[in-house]
Amino acid sequence: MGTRIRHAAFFGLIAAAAFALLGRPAAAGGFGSVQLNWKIVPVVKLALTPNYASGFGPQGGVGSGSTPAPGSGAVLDGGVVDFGNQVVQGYSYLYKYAVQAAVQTNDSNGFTLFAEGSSNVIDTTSGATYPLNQLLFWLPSSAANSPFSSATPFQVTSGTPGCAGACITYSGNPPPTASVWSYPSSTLSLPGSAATQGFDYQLRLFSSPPTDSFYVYIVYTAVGN
Amino acid sequence: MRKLAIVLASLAIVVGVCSQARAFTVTLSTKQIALTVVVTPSPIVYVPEQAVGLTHVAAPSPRVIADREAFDARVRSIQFLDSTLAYDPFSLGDMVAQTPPQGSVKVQFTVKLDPTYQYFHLIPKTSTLNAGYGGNTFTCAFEVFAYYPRTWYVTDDVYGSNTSGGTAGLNGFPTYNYPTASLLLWLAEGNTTSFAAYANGGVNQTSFTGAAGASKTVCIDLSLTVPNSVAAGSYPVTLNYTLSHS
Repeated sequence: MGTRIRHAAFFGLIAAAAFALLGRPAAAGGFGSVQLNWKIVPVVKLALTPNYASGFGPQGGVGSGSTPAPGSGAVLDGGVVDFGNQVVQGYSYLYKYAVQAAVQTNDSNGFTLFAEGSSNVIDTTSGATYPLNQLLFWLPSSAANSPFSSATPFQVTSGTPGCAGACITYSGNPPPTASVWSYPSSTLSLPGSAATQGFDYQLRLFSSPPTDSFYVYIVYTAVGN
Repeated sequence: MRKLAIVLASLAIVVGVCSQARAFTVTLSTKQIALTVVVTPSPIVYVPEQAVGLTHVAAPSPRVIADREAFDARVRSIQFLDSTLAYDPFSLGDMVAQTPPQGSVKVQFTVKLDPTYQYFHLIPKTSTLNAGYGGNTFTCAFEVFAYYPRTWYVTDDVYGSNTSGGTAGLNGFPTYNYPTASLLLWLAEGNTTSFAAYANGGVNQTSFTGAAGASKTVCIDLSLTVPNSVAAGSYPVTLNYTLSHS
């Protein structure tokens, strides 16, 4: 009985739908318009090239008795920024052509590139950390740069480091103080559709950290404006 | 021939005396410290009166206002209907979540021992001196540690300064180069009582001294008066400190 009622209700619905579709009178002639809006999602791509030009590597330390040279981790167009093992406590060094950033974007307002350390500088033996903003500095690449040129200290992120220090998760954008480069327009008209900027690094060992090996990751983040 | 021998003997004596005098002072080590002076503009910005103009904008007519209100009402009703759609990207306020691209660079180095560290080193406290226009004082901007078994003294001067105009990129504001006096002044706490301009003519000056076998760690206070003629921005400062002993 119940099943029969359910079947009747089902066929009734089918009939009603068919009537609605087939028996609907033709609409009177008319017209309308609709405005379509769409937003093209800005795309930002980032590529980093360490040791991006021949002649890369550390210089400076005059008076220390040691001549700095790139460590084995540094290779042209790759590897790491390796100041080597001839940097001396108390002296200052400039690492030429440390990294080049290439950014592509279709954002008409351009982009901003941020850079922060995922941690302080880490002693590979003891695990102790030393203030990043007293040791490592950045400045745009220029032939006139020296170990004593005006440079900006890298800061440790307040975001959440991940990927063993190689990435940072931000809630929102990185802080404005971490901005290292800003570009005001789309890069599509540029060669390779990319804007490029090279950076030199300064290692200032004035605080005379212990004689040991150290490392830190500098994480770059590109954000459309 | 005899006269020549006398002259040569005299020259030998003079050279010997000079060499001995030089031997009285031994420079053990020179260290640099680099700071960046950041001059920030005054928060009060003077705007010339003529630069501030009023632009007359005609008020819209009542009909324009009515049309606009009707249009806005229609838009609101359309948006209300749109909100019943299962997916409406524009209801997100044009915000589209995306993860900004990232890349990283590993920086590594191995520090080598400074053999003179036990006798002489600088202890930085900051790398940036934020200065406003007018007078600024930076208490204990950095420290200098010095020690030697013999009587010793520490001198300072501006890195890169010389008698031929200084070094490009190093001897501008605020330390300049002789004959322009340095605007950056120093005071060695507990050792000097007034601020003195950094020597910037290729000759250093005594900062403080110590007895044989006694060590000192001295705070260096800095003073800087920024004139209005200097543009806001960042300026590098590199200072030399040298330890010598008798």
